[in-house]
Amino acid sequence: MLIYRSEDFFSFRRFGLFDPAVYSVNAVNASLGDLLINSVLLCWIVLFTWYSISPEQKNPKYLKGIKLYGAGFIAIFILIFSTFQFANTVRSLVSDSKVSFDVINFFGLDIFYTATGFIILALLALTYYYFTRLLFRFIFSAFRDNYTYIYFCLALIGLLFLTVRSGNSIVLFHLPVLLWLILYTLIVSQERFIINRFKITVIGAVFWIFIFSVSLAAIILQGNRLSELRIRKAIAEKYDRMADPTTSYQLSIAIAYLDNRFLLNNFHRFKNAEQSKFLRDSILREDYTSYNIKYDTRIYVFDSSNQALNNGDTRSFPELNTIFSVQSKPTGIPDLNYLETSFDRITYILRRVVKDNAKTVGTFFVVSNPRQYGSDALYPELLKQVSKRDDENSPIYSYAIYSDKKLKSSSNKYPFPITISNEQIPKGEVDERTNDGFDELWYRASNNKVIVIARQRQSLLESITLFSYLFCAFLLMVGLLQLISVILKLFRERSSFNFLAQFSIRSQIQGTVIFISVLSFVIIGAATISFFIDRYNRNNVDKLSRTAGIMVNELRKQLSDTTAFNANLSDSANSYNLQKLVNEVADIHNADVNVYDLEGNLQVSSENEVYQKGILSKQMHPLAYYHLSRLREVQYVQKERLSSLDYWSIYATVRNANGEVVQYLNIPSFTTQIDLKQEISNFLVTIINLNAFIFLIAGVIALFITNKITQSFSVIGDKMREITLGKTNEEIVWNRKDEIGELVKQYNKMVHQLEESAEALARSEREGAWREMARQVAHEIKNPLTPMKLSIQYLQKAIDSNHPNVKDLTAGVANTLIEQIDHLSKIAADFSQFANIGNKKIELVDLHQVIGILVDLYGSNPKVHIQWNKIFGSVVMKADKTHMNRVFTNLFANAVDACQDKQVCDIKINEVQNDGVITISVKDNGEGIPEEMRSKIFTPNFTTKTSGTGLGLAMTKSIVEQAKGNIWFETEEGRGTTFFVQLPVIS
Amino acid sequence: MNLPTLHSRLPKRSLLFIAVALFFLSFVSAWYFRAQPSIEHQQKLLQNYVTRQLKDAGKLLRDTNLMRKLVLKTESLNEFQNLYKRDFGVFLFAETISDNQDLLFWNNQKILPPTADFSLKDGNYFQHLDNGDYVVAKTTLRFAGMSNNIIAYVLIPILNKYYVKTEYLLTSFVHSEDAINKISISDAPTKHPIKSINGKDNLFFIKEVSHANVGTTDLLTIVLRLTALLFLFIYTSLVS
Repeated sequence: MLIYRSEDFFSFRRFGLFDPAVYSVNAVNASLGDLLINSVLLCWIVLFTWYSISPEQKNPKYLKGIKLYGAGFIAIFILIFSTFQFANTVRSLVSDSKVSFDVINFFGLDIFYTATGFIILALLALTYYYFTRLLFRFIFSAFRDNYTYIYFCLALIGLLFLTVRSGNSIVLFHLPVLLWLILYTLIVSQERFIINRFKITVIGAVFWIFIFSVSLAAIILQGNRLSELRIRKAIAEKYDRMADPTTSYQLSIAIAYLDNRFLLNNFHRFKNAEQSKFLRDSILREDYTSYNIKYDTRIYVFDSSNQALNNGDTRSFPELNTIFSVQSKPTGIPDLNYLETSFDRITYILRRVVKDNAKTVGTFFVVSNPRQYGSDALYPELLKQVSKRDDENSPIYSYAIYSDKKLKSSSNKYPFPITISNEQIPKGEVDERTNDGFDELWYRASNNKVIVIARQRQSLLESITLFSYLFCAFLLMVGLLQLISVILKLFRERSSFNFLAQFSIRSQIQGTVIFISVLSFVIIGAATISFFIDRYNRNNVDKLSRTAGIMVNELRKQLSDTTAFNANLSDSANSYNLQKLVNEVADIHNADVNVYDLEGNLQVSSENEVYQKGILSKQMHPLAYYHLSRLREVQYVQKERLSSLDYWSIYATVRNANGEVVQYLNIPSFTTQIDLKQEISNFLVTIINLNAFIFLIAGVIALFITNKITQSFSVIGDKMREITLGKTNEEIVWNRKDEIGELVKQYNKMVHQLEESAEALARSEREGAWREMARQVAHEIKNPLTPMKLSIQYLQKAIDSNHPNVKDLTAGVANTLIEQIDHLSKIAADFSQFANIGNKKIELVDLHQVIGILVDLYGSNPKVHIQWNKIFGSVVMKADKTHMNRVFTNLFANAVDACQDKQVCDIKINEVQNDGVITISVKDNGEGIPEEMRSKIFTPNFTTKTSGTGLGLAMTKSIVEQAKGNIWFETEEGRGTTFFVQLPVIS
Repeated sequence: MNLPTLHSRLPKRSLLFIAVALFFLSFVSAWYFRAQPSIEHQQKLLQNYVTRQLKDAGKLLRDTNLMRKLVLKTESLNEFQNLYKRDFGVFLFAETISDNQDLLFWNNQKILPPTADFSLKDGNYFQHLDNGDYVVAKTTLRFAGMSNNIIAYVLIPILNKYYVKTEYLLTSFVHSEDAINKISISDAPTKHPIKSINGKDNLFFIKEVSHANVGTTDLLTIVLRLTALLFLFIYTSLVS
């Protein structure tokens, strides 16, 4: 965070994403980019913590009793506080930013900012989910006995927290959030019983995504409502200002320097035609530039005898003077008056009397008339200075302006009443009303002026669409994290990495179903939008062709009625006639019209300014000229581009009665594409909604399919796991003749074969075992018999030779015989135990109890030091207690025997529990096992000791494997040996 | 490269080394872009653009066969479209006795035709027109069998500048949209001239705009630093 905040390090502030004007709440979230970075970092930290602290891991040991309750309470408080903060951040992102979440108005969205907004929301939701899961670990541990206390604490602490908060709106917003939190806790607390499996499957993720999408959609809807109200109020204020003559400050700036001194010094120039033209042009260009776009501004100059000075217009001094003195009203700016020609059309008129001391030199008028543009005209769009995304241009709003309770002006998309009653006038500044599926905002601009802004009410559609957007954004985010996790695994795993092996069959099927639905969405969407655009373009060209055809006919007819057609158009009168004609035609058809001569030079245009000011040259478009002039085509339509503005332009030939081409007509047509965008927007909204539901349906179907398939696999897997040699294994009953049926058939066949093989093997093994046992017993018995026989022979010899110490010798021989007989007895006992391994009595055994007794027993030996690192609680498994006792007795005995030569025998016992399996290791500080002996260590009858049968470890291994466990060892010569016993436990 | 081999070739520690290397590179790139001031870089870009366009225009005008076709209006649609696609404007004027401008050919509507001045010598000039600034290359063409001279003007747009600024009518350099934030065309000579194709004659001069933020970190450095951070994050995730 410190790094990215360093201005020089990244220079993020130069990017639009980091513009505080788009979004800014506080110093931490100073922009949308900052919020994005903070969300990413927070998400990373929380996920990092979540995966570092394994979900199954238990709480720290010191968290017991009162401390655990304390931790639980603190966690509840943090949970409430973080939930409110999370909700606040989401709401501020929607209502306090310029990022649009008005998803129904698709083309009103700034895709980049809105997409960033949704990514941030997805990150925040993910962070919140894992953060709360971390908190719940402490909360659930503290209130293990009764979860009801949790809900009660949440409600109590939450309400207390809200009590100390000021601000009615905040409390009203947080109350439903608190209720949501209690419901969320309820679902999470029930998870272990109902939806525990959701943790590990795609469906689990989809479930939580569904929950968060619905929750966030609710908050965003509320934020959107606030934001949209502000927009509508701003639009109403704008309409109010548009019809307000006091906003003529722009003109006041423009006319500031047209004072008496300037006009007096330059007055003589108005008398010269050429200099007058230059000066007028200069004034309009320099001072009225921004105003020129909205207003058609003309300058009229009259001398002291009120004679016009090169005005180029027929307006006379008396006419203008009457308008200024009688018809118009003062604006408050000296010499500037306004004339209300209609409710929303105001003409400004400036009069400056130019004086030289007391003597009047002349009069200077500037008249600014509001321009009227056709809806399809190109040039207004080109010269427009408002942003394309300005809400006032949005097609979703309708407006009505009432003055003295009568409708003065309105858009024609909504049936506004012609008059309003006193009761309908809002009491305050604004009033919200609903009317027949529309939301209306009534804005009282003044006592007699009311502005109404209406918008179609689409709450249900908006909710569904918002949900769909969030759902898709979350799915993408989860998919991305899954990908990152796989990549991290790639680096983490030492063994060979198989990409597909990372996903279970269940995930693969669910992923494929979802992928297919996404793919179909993309293909159908792209194809349909392409079809819309194509059809729209075709319609445009058709419409343009029809308009051009009508215009050509009109021009031909009207031109043939006048002399203008065949006359020399350089003649000013004819040129004026043609200009008038073109203007009329352009007005009727709401379009711009240009007429070119056969050389491709512009003759007249309905919008001369574009050519006079050099935005485009007065030559005809070269490609169109080539087609009409050289290729002799009657009509040519093409898409043209000026800067980033694309528009259609049609060129047609105007022919005389003899069929000779006399002129070229051009109509550039710009349609704001609102209809097309609206159509595509509606389609996209529908398809996104549909797709979100397809996601859900596909998810549910995938759940059923995968459950069915994996259930079959699980049954087969369980049966296979239970297969044991030497007992009758159950067949699987499968009635359907599908692929799994074939698998089951093969399995059943295999079970039969296995039984036969097992029987044969058992028979062979039994015989072999008997032979081995007989050999072993013979060998073991033979060993003590030899010293016994030798001792008896020695005693016999002594008796025969009357040895004097016969008595002592007899005692010695007797001792030897007793010792050997004891040895024979031990051998017999060992074999007896080994033979009894198969006879087991399964019960619940606490391994800690078994090991504890042995630790006490061996620990009583002063030479032996035992260190036992046991895990918290008891370790229960299903096994024969005597067998388990034998396993650890053998391991302990071996450990003690291994360090016989050492002064101190250190035995370390460690335990690790994971996924229902416990691994217990017994480590000694003996000499270790030599390399050559390691492979035989578990073989019966193998021993490194001077005494013993060598059956201990063989017996241990056999017992562990019978208990479905595993045993292995690690050894280092001179340092010691560690035996690991892995056993399944009941968690 | 398949994934297992990728893993074996990229042990964890290498991520840390990559991150450090990227940070180091980012400082090198930051130093390089600071050492090379923005205006010189822009001058180089603009000079390359002008030279390239002038060379292209010269090559075009030397194609007398095509020029003759244009004057006689016998060029094919393909030839015409080839000219239409050029970034510069081509205007052919016929020299008349009465000094009237007789425009025979033009290939662009957005570039204004220059005022034909037959007394002006052939060469390259800088000219301001109503919709911007241009480098104008004037060439007199003579064709066998034609009595009138043809004056060819090639107008290479340098700066689009309209009488009014709107969302569509923006002031911008043609060679680079971003350049307008860094340089402007100077009326007086500066240390940064843009030269003609011969490398000697100055066509016009540019200067640095006063508000240009020279200290801004360049995009390459930012990308390098962000990538380095990413690697560092992955490394810390793996080693923890």
